[in-house]
Amino acid sequence: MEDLEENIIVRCEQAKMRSRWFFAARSGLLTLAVIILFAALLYLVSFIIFALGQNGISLAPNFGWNGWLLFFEGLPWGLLLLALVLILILAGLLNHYEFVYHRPLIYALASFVFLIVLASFFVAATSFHKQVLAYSARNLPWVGQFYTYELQEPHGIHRGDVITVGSDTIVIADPSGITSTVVVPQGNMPRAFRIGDTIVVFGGRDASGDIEAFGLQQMP
Amino acid sequence: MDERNDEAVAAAVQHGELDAFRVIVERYEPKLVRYARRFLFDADDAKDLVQDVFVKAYVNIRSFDADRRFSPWLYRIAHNEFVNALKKRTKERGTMSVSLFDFDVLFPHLSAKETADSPARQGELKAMLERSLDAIPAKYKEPLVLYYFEELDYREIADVLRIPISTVGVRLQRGKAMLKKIVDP
Repeated sequence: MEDLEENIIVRCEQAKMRSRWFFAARSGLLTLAVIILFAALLYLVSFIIFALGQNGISLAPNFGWNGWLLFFEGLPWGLLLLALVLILILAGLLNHYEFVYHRPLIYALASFVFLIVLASFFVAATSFHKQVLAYSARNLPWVGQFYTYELQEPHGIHRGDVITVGSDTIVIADPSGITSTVVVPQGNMPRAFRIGDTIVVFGGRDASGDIEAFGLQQMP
Repeated sequence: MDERNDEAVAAAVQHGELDAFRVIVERYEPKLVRYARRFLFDADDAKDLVQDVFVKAYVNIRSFDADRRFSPWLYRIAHNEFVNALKKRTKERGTMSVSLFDFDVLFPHLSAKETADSPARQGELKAMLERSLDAIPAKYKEPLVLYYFEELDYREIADVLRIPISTVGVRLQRGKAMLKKIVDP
């Protein structure tokens, strides 16, 4: 035992004790990483909520089983997976803190998800992403491309401005000006639509390119 | 004989007193060698690893908060060192007995309150542990060793293992149940 003690002391004499600054810097880096990850998650999740609202996917579940199918098909799964990975990394970083690891991990995960989703709804409700989209279109082409890619209409969902309203058809023009005829099942034509309204139409195209709508709604 | 408590001695080491670290080594070396042997290692391996634990503790002593208890901090370093050694060993042997994630840290547990065993019961459990420790998986063995031999409480064990306090209680209960089955099948 004496030998072991002496060996330890000799090795300690040769070793260099780390300064308090080292640990302060490490702790600061951890905090910074947590803040950056939280901000990244807030941006990502609020963008997903913004995108779902912009391309009309969030309205799809109002139209029954087919609507739900379109909703799940149209979800940005890649971004959701990325958000999940970031949440797990954030949980791993926060697990260095006593207030997190002293409790079951499920509490921490549920709290992070709740907090991030809540904050993201607030951010998505502001004009933040619209401003980023407008700014990036002019100044940051690769960010603009990301927005354009993620905001494009998913299969079976069509967004446009009403040009004409008939008894069972509506003509809409998409943001690039291309017009499409929407065929509405008899008796299902909403009366409230006016020329110039922005609407979202759910349904596939037939052989002639017309949209066979099973649901349509004015954009909020 | 230094009569200062561990925390005061550690604070002295933080201010550069290497002799104070000798006091820490004298107090904890037998405990850490015992912990290492009970955890998983043979005698020589245990002594080498304990040396590494002390050197790491010395190098990182300024990260210790002297307002908190010293022993969980030191056992945390020991735990990491031993787990890394175990991982290395199992990797070399092509087996994997150290899991990276345990699902019992994920969900809350109902029956996890700290319970005090009577001294007689503690003695009985210690004797059972001494006899049958090798038959218990490391996941349950470590909290048992820390609780019954190193006399850490649930919160301190949670700090050493970085797991929820309720999970410590559950692992102790399950470990004790396993012991009973082994001793009295």
